[in-house]
Amino acid sequence: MLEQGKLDIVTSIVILIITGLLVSHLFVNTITKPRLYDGTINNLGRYAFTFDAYDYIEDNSEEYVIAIGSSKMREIFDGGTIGNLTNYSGDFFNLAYAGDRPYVRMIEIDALIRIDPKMVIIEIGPNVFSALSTPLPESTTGRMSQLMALNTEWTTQSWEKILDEEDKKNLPLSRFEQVRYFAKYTPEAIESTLDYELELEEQPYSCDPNRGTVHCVPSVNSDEFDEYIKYPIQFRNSLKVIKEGNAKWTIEEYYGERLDNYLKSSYHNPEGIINKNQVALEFIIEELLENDIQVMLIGLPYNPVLIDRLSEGQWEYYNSTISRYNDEYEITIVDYLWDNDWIEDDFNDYTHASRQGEIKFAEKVAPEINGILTQ
Amino acid sequence: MDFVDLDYYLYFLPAVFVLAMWVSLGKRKPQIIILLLMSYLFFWFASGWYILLLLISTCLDWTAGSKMHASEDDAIRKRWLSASLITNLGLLGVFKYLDFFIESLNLVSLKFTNSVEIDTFGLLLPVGISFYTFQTMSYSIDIYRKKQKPYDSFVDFACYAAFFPQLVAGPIVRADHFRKEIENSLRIDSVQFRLGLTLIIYGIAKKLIIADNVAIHANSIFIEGEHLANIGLVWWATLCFGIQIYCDFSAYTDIAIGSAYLLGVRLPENFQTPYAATSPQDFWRRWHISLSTWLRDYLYIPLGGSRNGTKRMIFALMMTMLLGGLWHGASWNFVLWGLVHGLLLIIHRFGKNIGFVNKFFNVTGKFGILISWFVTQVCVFFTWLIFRVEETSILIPSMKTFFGIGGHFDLGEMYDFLPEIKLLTVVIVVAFIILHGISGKVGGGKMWLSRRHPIIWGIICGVMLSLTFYLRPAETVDFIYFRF
Repeated sequence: MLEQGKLDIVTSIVILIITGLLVSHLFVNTITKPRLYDGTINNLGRYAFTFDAYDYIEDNSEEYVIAIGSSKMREIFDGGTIGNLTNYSGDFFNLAYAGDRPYVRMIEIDALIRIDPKMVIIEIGPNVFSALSTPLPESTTGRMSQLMALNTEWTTQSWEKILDEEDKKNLPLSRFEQVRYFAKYTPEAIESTLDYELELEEQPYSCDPNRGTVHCVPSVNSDEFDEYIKYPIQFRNSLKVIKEGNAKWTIEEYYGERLDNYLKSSYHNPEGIINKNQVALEFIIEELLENDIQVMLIGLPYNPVLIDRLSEGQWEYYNSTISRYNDEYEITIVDYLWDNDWIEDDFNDYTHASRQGEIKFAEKVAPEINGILTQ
Repeated sequence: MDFVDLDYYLYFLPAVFVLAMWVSLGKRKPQIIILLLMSYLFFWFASGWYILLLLISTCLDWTAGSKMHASEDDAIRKRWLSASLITNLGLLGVFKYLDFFIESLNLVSLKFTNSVEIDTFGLLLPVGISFYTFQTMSYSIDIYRKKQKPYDSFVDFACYAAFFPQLVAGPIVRADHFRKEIENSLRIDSVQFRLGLTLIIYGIAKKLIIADNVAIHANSIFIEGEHLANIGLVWWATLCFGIQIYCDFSAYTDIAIGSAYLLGVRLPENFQTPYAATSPQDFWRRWHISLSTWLRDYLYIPLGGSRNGTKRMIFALMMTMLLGGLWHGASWNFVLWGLVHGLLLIIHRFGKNIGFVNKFFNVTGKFGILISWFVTQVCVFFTWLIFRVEETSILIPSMKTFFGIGGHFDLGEMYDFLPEIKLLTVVIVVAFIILHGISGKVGGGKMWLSRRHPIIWGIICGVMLSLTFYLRPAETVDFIYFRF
């Protein structure tokens, strides 16, 4: 081929690649991501809103404390009330989500460090030390894949070294695989967008507070988002509904065999070994400390009816680990798990705080936060 | 390995290109050796030890060709031709049809008492066997007919038989055509290079955006076999399959021709907007051209063709279409498909000579053409229904519903039953129909695009590739013609 011909070919290929990348960016950001975030394609999107939130917080707030953890943290941490009760001038954000595990959450660590919060409050409880199988359950793989694809810090991915070798095989680790993950959902995203535009379908998970659905996350561009990430929409008060006789079960049934089965689940039984979740938790703590971000571990309270039903030593691993962390890390540990001050009315169900519980929690934790942040 | 495998584009094709068109540029012999070795490697990845069958076919037809050319003795020449035909058809018979034959025999013997069921061999169909055996057979037949001379070099001939772009699913290339393509050292210019890439991108887009998306709809109806009384669903599924099979097969051909272009070899076109055909005969001039011309030259004409009276013509046509149907696969629905196409061709051949029909088309002009296009396409798509559905319990009710017999039309049922991606599929189908129509009028634009400024070419192809990446369904479907 002549020199001009070679130049033509090189130019063609370079333009092709640039155009491909631009169109790809357009697809991901205008079609696929919105449908992943709004929970249309799969409700896992509802657990991956945090990357949006990190960007939002960085852009809209100067100083802040961030709470992470499971639905227990999500239901008890009212950022607004806590802010009012402390002397700290910054904001308190609640980025907890249902079913959170440290092994999943660690994917956010680079984004969390990037926005440099004053302090991170991390939920610690028996659930944090529960087992996570290898290979991972499909739902966990799905959630992790989605977080990896949405991860804004894909050039760092410091958590990769913590991943189990077997798990790595099923997760989109490279950027190409992550883009492929988006591509996989694009036809569905286009279909849903057409449905919404033509008003053939209603958008799911409307943020009606009365629905109290965990799936409801307002869009980052909406006016409700700021309030949401300080105090997410809460579960309904199931205990109240049961006691009023409007549920499928009587209160005796609810506290009977159902509670026994609940307590038998692996989620409430620490495995008693340093498993994947615990390794990830320690990685999160160490990464935050290394970046001079203060860490507070909080053991959240449970409904006392549940606490009374625990078998001998069931959560002993939790106690011994807390004690070890106290010795090993320069962190603050606040443990309300065995605090006798909590009563049944502080809860909506077995584990999640009611409004009364939220206020009690805020009153209890505010002085602890003051102690750290005003040092 | 096949053309939907990313490794083909990331490693295999670039490696062949670099070795053949860069390292060995201007050196014909090394280029052909590289193409041959890489073709065998491709076949090995695709089919493993079945490569031995390809080698058997190659060696035998090479020998047969040389011996027939060297001898003037008709008996010797016939013996070598028979050896070629028996071996190639024998390979096809054993690996493609033996189990089908046994199964059919078992089915018939069920009618008799004390019948013994014969076990099938469970043979897997070797990839590409229907294509390369036809190629090598045509080589031997042409030498026997003294229409061409044998290749001078075994490597050249082996390269013809195994050339990887068209090895697995065609187009079926004639030996003379390929000989001319490789008689000098292989070279390309920047326009040819871009044409090759354009064809590959066209092919990938057709396969992944159109064929694989509409396949989900066709499969959901013809595999599940539910709601077969809904005329809308049966028509929609048939339309989807007709689009799928064209886009799937022509995509393979585009990628094959494009890959060959990058290596300096031009392969013949295999399609010419078949859904613009206005008669069954016209359809076969536009659909799978390399197979239909092969069947014409090596089956229809030897069986008598159209110059030996009406009865002979009907016999030749029906045999050709029946065997053409059977060539697609060892299943009775393919035989039926061939039979219906044969009948359509005969009806057309006689129908067009009937006085009032002739008069009607003379009077109606363009409207008449539109009617004949519509009727042709309804018939063609009906045959696709037969082609798609092997299960008799699904085929018969679907055929009845296609013609409205005992069927009903329920849009709500259609909407509920169709797979999740509905609107996007409708958009894809409509876009295909429009683009196919335009392409029938002004051509596919491949040559036009490859002659554009590099920036324009890059932008258009970049958009096409991105669309392909994002619009393809989660599951990629194998190329349909790989099964044949």
